[in-house]
Amino acid sequence: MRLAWNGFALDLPPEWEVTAYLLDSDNGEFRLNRRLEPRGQLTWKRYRKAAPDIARVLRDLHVRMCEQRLFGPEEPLIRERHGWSVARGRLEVPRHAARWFPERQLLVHLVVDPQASDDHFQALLDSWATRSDKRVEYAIFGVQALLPEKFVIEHLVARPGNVRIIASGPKMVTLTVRCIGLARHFVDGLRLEDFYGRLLRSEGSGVLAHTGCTLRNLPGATVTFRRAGEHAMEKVLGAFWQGTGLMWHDESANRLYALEQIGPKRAPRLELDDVVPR
Amino acid sequence: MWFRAKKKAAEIPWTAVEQLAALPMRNAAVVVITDEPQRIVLRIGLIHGWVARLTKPITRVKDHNLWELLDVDLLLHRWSDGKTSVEDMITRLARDEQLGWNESRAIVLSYLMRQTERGLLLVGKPV
Repeated sequence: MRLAWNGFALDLPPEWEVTAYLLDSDNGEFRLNRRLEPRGQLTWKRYRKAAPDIARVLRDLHVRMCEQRLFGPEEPLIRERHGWSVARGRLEVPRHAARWFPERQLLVHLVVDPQASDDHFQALLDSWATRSDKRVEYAIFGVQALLPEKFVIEHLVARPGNVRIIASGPKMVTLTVRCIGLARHFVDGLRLEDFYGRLLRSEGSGVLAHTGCTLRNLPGATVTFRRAGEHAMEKVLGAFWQGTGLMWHDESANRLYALEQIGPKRAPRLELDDVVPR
Repeated sequence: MWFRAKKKAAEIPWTAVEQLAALPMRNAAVVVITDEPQRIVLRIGLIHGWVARLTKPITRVKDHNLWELLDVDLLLHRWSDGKTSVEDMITRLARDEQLGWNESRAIVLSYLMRQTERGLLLVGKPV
């Protein structure tokens, strides 16, 4: 499972899931579990002035973790691996690693539970990726989006089998990327465009037109919908904005994916292939 | 130090249902129906082992705007036979629907919660 936020990305080992998140761009975290067992924690903290002394941070944290487990303080062995500083001590103490992410002035810190295998820890470290273009990758709970840097994430709505990221861009365009599980049951006996229309209606949009199509060689649907304007005069006057939605059914993944964009008439929209990687 | 800074609590993706993870799962024979949501959660937290047999037909749920469109309850009802354990239900749903295990767990537990709210889940077989 891909996990990407705040400009960096990692690949989680099989069966690992995010079970808690704090998406503050300055000071956030993901907690990771395998089923009910805690597996680790990924945190980030922004330093606006200068990079911190990573070795010192790792040593201090290591001492604290030893104390929490009622062990005497020990000096961890710190090594470099693919840009990470990795701290190791006694086996009962979590392994942890930190790295400086200069583009965002973030110190990223990964702690992995002693019960997790070393292979998983190494694979997590090695999977670190950032983008050199002007786009930011977001991937969590199966939903994935590549957005221009100017876009700001407004909400992450994470429900079981129904996840969406809502972002706002320049010129008041709002963009929603969805990933819906249990897909074969949703479309069983129902046309995809009808399902999509009902979904948008249930969220307060008025559906103007919907039609079936093929998207990315998969069964798809396009919907034109409208929603009350959310900014400035549109809100005062009760004017409506028109939006377009694209949904496609990936049968092999048993997922429905969708991209919606809504905003003022002349505001430019993004292309599907630019936002949702194939 | 940076890691000592005060932070907001992390959000849990699957909301209230996920809080069951913190509860000890023990055997229970009777589920008490109550109007207080927190107490219902606690009661369901006590169900372990066998899923109780349902006594009434299931109606459609309306507490989840996607689930209004799909009868997830009917999907899960096939395993509510008094023989399948809660954990097996979770694992089967995750496997069959390619969901994350915790994601599947949230769906199963909220299904059990809804049955309890309606008084459909009456007696759990003690292990």
